Amino acid sequence: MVFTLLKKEFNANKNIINRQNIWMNIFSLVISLILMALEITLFVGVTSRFVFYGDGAEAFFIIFVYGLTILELILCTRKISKSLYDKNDNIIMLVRPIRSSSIILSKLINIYIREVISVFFIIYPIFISYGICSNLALSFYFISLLYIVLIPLFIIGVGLVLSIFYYYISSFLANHNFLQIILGIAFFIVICYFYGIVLNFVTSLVTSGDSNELINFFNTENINAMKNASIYLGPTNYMINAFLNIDLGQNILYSALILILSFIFGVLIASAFYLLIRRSSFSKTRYYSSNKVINSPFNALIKKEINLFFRDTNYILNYIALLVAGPYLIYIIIVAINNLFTVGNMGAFASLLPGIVGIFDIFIIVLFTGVINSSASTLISNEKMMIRINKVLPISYFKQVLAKLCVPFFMSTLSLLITCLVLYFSKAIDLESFLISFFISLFLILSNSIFSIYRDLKKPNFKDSINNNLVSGILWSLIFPFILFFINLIIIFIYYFNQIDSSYLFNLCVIIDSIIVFFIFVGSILHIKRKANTYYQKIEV
Amino acid sequence: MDEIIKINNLYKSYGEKEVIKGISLDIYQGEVFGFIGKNGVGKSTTIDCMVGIKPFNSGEIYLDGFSIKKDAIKAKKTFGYVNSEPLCYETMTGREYIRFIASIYKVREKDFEKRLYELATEFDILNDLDRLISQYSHGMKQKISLISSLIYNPKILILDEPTVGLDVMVSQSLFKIIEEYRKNGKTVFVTSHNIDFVKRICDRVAIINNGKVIYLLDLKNKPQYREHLEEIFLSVYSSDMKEEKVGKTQTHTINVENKDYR
Repeated sequence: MVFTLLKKEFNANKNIINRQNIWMNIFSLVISLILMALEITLFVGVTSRFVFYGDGAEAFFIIFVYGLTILELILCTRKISKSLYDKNDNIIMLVRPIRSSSIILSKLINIYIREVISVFFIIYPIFISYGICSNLALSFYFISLLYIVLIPLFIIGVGLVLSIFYYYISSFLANHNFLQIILGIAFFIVICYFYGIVLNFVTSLVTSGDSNELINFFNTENINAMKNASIYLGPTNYMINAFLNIDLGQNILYSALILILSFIFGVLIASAFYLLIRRSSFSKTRYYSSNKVINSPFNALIKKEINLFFRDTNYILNYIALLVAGPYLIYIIIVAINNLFTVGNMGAFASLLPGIVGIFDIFIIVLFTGVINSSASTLISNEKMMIRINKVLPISYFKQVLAKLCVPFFMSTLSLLITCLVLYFSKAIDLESFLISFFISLFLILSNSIFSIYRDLKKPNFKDSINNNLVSGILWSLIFPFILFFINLIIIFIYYFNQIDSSYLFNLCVIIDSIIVFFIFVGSILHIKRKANTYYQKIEV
Repeated sequence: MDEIIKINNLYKSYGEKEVIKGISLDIYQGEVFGFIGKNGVGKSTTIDCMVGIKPFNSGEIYLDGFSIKKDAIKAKKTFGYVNSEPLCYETMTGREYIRFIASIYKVREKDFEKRLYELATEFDILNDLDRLISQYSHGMKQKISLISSLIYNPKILILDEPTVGLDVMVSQSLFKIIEEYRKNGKTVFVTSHNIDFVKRICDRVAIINNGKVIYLLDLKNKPQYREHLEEIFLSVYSSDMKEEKVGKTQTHTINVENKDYR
């Protein structure tokens, strides 16, 4: 029975991958490789300096691996909660003659295998990197594979306990939309803050290896603090020490104790909770709305879109929170880019061609706001079967499409305005760049949204929970900014190699960008006006 | 009598497969019309074409004189439609969803409140209107679908399998509402697998098979059809099965296309 259930779990995972189109799989792979490269660069960059300063490399290694283990734990907690407390799955399973222990066991085996694979790709490269940086013997690379096989027991054990809290918190948040938005924004701002720190750090590593910031970071006090901290990071510290042949017996004992106890404790607690959850009923929250009937069908559609936006957890987390946190993210990157152009070769290049920094800043703003606001690519697909009801409504399809565009466009404009204001008031960009970035981005976002909704109309995806259209929307949103960027780059190179007076470089690039964006915008409007009705009409569900 | 729904020589195919093969029907004001057939013979596709969900290859459909192809918006204002599977926005409450539909059809606030109270009481869902639809059972969602299509008092009611998931009490309420509709000179077009339901409420019935109307029976004026509806229904498909055994494809002795028994 366990084997049959396990097969069901594997098939469910396999189907998710199969349902994705080739572009989505390639996109996921590229993103994973970039993240892996960033992780390894950061680790090797810092470790080589510890090796250079002679001390602290091992403590940093333990802290880094422990950090990644915690990251795995967070991801695994979500995985466990989704798998173990899946309402639909439980409804199906509840009526079958299957013992709960078999269900739990099959789910745990599935999670364990997925965890081993995940740890292998996320954490094992760090072991290899550390081995190379510290010239360790070949046996270290083999013995450290034990970490990949054993640490999932700790991750799953603790994850099982945390998943209970996760379950309650997510159930609570599901009925408190405003709180969801606040927490979503707070979460992304925290992520952006740490992203900013890492970005600054990587920029420092790339540009000036001996900057004051870095030298301060590797001082004796910090190294000692890291060493002291690494003592408490079990079971990672015990396992790594065992792999490095330090106090072998004691470290193996401690590692085994933590791994086994955390796993058993987690399984016992979660099993009891699983049985409780299966018998629990659905919550019966009431929403009181005192609004009246709206006498304008178009306004009613807008209101419906607002409702769908603010009550959909996916939108709240993936879009709205990111939209509000976007300005901060872009600010961090612009500051990093501006710093990059003040030192070294890039600094020299910028002094030769004044205006180039502004062009890069505009590109970054256009690029990121475009990507963040690419949600229009799923506006039709997200209607799912409700598209049948929409098609019956006595409102023209063009107006329905227009209503769909209004809400995300308003949100995007607001986000863009905040972004540009933040950048202007923090003096990251000047007034000229502020105005140009705002208007170019505004028209590009609108054009992108129109093209995205057009693509979604043409080939909607109503069935899959994972929407390929979102990924293709993100990829498409990159095209226009990169077209502008490459044209600007060509102009920059023409100026550079022909040694033309660069006083008007920035203005020329901006004028050309504006003309291109104008044509893209007009093209998108004409296109959607001509095709919206036809494609909407053709949708069959 | 005035024709309020007119279907002329309707053809619809999915790729190479032709599913509707020249259906023609006239449905009159104030009648309850049943459209029945086994699964997969083209009932829902016909309804989808009628209400504008699916485009069709050729033919014409008029609702209260408006072509669903050429005058879609006006045609859509004339009917209320209930899907076979209840469809509502799950992130809205029952009241919000019904209000959204009422807003689309420009129902006045005063009329809305009055009608909502009446319908919600009739369907026994008044106390649950402020809960999220995602928390509703299948039957409750179907009630919300029904109320949302009745809230603006349309001239025509198009119901695709309306009794699925409804308990006996609610089905009874649905009978009552359809009866009221008929009394007020309005039209109901209904598909159902439930022969008893059709027998009880319909004035006329069309039996469809392989994308064609096989029988058009006047139950109102010829009570014997009402009595033997189940037998007639079964005879269509049992003879169809015999036909398959002997390898025939299209014609059949009882397949009198569009034969009007009035």
